[in-house]
Amino acid sequence: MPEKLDRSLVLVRERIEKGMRGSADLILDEFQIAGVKGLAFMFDGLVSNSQVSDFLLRPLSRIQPSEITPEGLWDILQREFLFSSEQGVVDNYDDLFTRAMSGFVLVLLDGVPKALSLGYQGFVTRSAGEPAMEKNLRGTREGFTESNNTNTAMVRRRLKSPCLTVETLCLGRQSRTNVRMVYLSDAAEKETVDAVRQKLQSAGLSLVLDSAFLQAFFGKGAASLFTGTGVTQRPDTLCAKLTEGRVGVMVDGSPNVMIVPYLFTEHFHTLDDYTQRPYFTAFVRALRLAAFFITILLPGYYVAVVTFHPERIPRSLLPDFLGSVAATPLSAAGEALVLFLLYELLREAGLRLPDAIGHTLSVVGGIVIGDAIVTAGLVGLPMIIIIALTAVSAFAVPGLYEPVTILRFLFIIIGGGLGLYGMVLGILLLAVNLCSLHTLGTPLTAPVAPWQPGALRDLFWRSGWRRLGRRDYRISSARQKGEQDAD
Amino acid sequence: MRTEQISGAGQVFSLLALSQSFWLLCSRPPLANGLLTAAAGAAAYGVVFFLAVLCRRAAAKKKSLSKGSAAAGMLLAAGYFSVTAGQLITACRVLFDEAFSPFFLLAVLLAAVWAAAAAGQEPLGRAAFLLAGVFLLGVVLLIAGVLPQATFLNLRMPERDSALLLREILFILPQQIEPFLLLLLAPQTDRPHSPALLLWAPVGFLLNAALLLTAAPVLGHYGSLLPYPVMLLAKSAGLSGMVPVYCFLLITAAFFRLSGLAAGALRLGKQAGIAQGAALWAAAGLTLVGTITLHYTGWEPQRAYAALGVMGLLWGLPVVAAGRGGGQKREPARQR
Repeated sequence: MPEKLDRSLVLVRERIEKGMRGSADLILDEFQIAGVKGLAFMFDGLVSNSQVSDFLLRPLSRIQPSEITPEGLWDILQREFLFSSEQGVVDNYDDLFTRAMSGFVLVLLDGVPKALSLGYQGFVTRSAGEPAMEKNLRGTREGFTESNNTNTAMVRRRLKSPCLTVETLCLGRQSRTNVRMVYLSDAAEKETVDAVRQKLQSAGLSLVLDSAFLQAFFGKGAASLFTGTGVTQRPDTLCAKLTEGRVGVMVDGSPNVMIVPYLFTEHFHTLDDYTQRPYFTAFVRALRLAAFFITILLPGYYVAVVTFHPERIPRSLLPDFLGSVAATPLSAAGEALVLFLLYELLREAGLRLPDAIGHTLSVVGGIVIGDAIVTAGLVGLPMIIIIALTAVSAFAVPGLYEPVTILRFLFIIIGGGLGLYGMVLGILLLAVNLCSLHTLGTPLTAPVAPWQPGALRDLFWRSGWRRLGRRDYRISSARQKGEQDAD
Repeated sequence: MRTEQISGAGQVFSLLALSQSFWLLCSRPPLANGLLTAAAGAAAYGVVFFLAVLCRRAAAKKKSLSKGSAAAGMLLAAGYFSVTAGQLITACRVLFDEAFSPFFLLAVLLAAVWAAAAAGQEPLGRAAFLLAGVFLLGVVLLIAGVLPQATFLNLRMPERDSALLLREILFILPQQIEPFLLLLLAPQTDRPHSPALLLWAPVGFLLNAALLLTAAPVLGHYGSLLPYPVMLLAKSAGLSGMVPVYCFLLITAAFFRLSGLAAGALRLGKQAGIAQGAALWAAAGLTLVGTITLHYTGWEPQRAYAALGVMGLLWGLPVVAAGRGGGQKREPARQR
């Protein structure tokens, strides 16, 4: 049960000061109207000073009643004035602190155990720029920002449906982060929405800084490298997913919006697929699928073949392949592992560096180390080609970069230890593992397994808009199919 | 109910169709040429199809087995598992030029199959469906790769072998009893009204006939007499990519046959009153012992299949005939 506000303004002030332990950005402005003492509680930097001055202090100074009780003044303030479009009443300390730290101004009157909360947020937010991780050729250049209000507005601007519902939750014992669930009430199943809400509320984290913090609470099934939730920084992508009956989870302070549930095949789709001609979409989707298999399997397959099955190598390539392995001190698996570790090291080092130093790192890594390692005879040239092709392929499906990197290492080890026999068994186990995962009852491998022929029009290829527009796809159909199979 | 409304049918169908292809991918047809084997296969599949219809009817009754019957079924499944695992390991030793020791291959196989079986029948069925497409693509690639070498003169029927059709049927038939037991035991097939499931028999036959009828014109009309004709087919393609394709087909077919049996054994173990974890270890232990025993006794897989086929019929036919299994009634499916 949250602690109720005190009636005495002195006690409230003491409680606030005690709670904030003399924080330097705390602002407590006292005022008096018609003999009634008042207090404005806010934080420096979180509120807009000009808005507070224009819309709160000036109207307050104009109120000149002759004789009035604190309750009477409270009624006047609450009923006759609209200080802010985000205006509410708070009656406990938990909400008081949470609102104040979210950029609200809290107005309290002596003798009234309530506070008027007024939204005058004035903190600096990034403007909506193109998302760095989801670039596209056509379509909007607008991406989500770190403000939930801005993000919600972006979605509502695109989906002007009265069914677009936004629910707010306060998550994180310490962070008390504003988390929003966004969905279309006529498309999303009530069971799914309730399940998402329940999962979020039971997350039990002390700190929620990004939607990624909450991802782990949605998966169910075997332990896996894959996840049944997606992330987007694009409002148009989120809108498309919402119309299919999914739920978006926005976390204040992060531009990454989580989509629940998310299917494995969707990692091979991009927004450009819907602006390009269908035949070209089919081509690029096939390319991405091929890139996924190349990046996972090619190094392991190469290692398996040169280690255990050299007779499988075409005759024209045999001398070069085997010669390069014989001329290097490491085994083929060792070569691949060392090169991939080096590549990941350079990638990780370059990821968070300023651009200028990043370029230097690229030169050092790519030319100096890459060239030197071959010249020194530590690694063969065929392996460099395999690694380069694999590394490039990994970026064709950026949403799967993390699992793909680990799987690549696993398949190199399997290929080096068990040859093609182990590789095939590994692929089969990976398929079983993928098929065992589901998010809120929706199988990760839908609509392929369980098979939904209706979804084929936008799976490996995309039908034209005339056909796509005839009937909307609903994610709930995948869940229902999955449940039927589980019976 | 319409075929497309039968959920899970496609997945179990794939599990069975992939399983059907295993015997051909690592078989050693002893008597006839490709055409005769295809003809014998058609007759054998006809019998299996008839048995499968009976099994579907029995499974639709939704009755579980008695504890004794379930324990006997578990032993039977473990026996089939052992022979199949032994066959796969022998084939892999030939395929990979004995690069690995049989125990190493067996250990890896058991680890992979039992890990998959522990995931449950539902993911297994889905994975089978997912990989059935890739499997078919592999078959098409293999056939397309060797077709330029086909000589239709090889398709003539050798006269002296035509009388051996019956022996060929008897060679194929015992190996086909196992999938029909799978059909009887797999939980996803317990749902009634799934006639589409039975298509696995003709599809399996068509798949195998396609491979056999490609082997005959390419390898010669006695080519399919050689051990592992499909492996030879892959090698004869002259393309380095074809042997890995064969390797994929063989291991995929064996994996789903084995994991289907393993999941069936687990399910029977539970019906016999053994806890889930204990059933897993018991069944895995039985299969390990069975495979090693078969390896050391040197029993021909064909003989083992014949013995298991007889035992399978003795075990399965009363269950099918009674249509009840004599046990407790299962809980009804969840209502929506």
